[in-house]
Amino acid sequence: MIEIKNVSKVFQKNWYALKDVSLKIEKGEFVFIIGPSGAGKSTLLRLIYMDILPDMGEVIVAGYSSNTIRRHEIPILRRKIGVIFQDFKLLKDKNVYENVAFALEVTGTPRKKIKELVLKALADVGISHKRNAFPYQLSGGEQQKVSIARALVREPFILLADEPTGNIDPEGSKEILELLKEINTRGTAVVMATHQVDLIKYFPRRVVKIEEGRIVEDTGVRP
Amino acid sequence: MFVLREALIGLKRNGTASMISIGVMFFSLLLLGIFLIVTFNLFGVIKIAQSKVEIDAFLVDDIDSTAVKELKGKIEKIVGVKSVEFISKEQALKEIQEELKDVPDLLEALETNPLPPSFRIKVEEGYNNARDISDIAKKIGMFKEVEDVKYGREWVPRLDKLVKILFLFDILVGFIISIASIYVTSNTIRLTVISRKESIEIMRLVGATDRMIRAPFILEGIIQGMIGGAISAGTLYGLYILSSRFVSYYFPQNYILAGLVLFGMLLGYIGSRNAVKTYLTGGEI
Repeated sequence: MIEIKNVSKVFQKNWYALKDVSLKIEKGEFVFIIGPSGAGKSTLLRLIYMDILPDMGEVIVAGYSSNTIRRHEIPILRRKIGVIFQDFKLLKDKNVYENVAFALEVTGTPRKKIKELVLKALADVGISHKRNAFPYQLSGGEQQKVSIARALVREPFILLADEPTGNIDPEGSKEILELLKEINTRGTAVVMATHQVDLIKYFPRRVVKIEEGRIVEDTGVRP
Repeated sequence: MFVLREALIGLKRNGTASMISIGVMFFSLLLLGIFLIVTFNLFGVIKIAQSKVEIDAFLVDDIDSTAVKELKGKIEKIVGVKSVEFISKEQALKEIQEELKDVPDLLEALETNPLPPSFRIKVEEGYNNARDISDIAKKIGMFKEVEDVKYGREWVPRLDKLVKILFLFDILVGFIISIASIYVTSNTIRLTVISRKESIEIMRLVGATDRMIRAPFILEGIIQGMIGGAISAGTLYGLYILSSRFVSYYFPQNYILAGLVLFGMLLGYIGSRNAVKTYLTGGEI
């Protein structure tokens, strides 16, 4: 489903964010990408949703290869991928409902369908009761739930989470992790980058460790 | 729907910048409109003057009627000649008498008719310029029955030049105004783009196409141009109503008014497209 083959990414002159990285992620898997800040975790995720393209090697996602994908195909691919971030990336002037609906509006989903899908996504992450609240009225954990709802509203085959608990207190972090687990059990693959190694204890799954742009450990698929 | 809503939000959010942009558009288009009207009217004057350009071919005194007929036919065949009218000696005298009727003494002094017979030649519209008229006059002068050829030698080329200069000036003014308007709109839209960086980033993330991302900004530019154009059209029309009490002139209102609005929209479109082109291409902003 996702195949990363001998990928290198150079940002500045001779500064390798990733060096000769190979990784395969199967359908419905849950993978932790761990490593210290600046190790290349975010770069790896960005390569998957093709925000950046590799300088060497190849990334294949859902049949699209980074070597042959065309500019106009990237939005099509992104619609099948959900992405969440440490800073939530919610629009401050839109309320919870509108933030989730936005993802559908900008891709031309019919109005009637939008309402149905948004309400379902909000219910799935358990934030329906706050649908009229604005981001500043929510806790970090709640904001992250909204951003997860926005990522899920299009029913992606994979959810990429870049330090999703980085800005959330420990209680909230566990809650978010629980939510990601639940999403995974429904069949969506989850790739979560984090430097909070303690989180993994609660939920042992495949762990890929990156240091200085290289994969130094891969536990392989765990049940 | 989404595109329109976002465009209106953009206009509102950058209220001051939008106002400035609309203001510049208004001022530029107003100036352009005034120039167009002045040009229209000058062209009108010039056209009337040009249609009065005629060539007089004076003939030898003793020409007989068959020769006149023959020569008339020949001149009519010259390319660019519209009409040829024969003025006999008697007719020429009559015309002079008519013109000088206030000073009858002057004519009484004449014992014989000194005026030669002549042809009064009008040229086709496309041949109203200095070069063609002088060509036609030269051709006419080559007939041996023609003693002399006269036409507005001096003012025809001058008029010609004036038309050309005016036209160039119009293009120049139009060009400068267009560039300025495009530049200002482009900068205003750029502000909107920057102020909505987050929203653009999210659009990218959730799979909005480039087109969808750009559309609201382009629409915003078009709306600015439309408003600027409409205000300038309204102002120009108001000025016309006011000034027409004192002077009458040609005001092609439908063309001018619709033209300004459409041109404003075009400038807005180009300006905003410029802005999103520099800021919204490539993977990142």
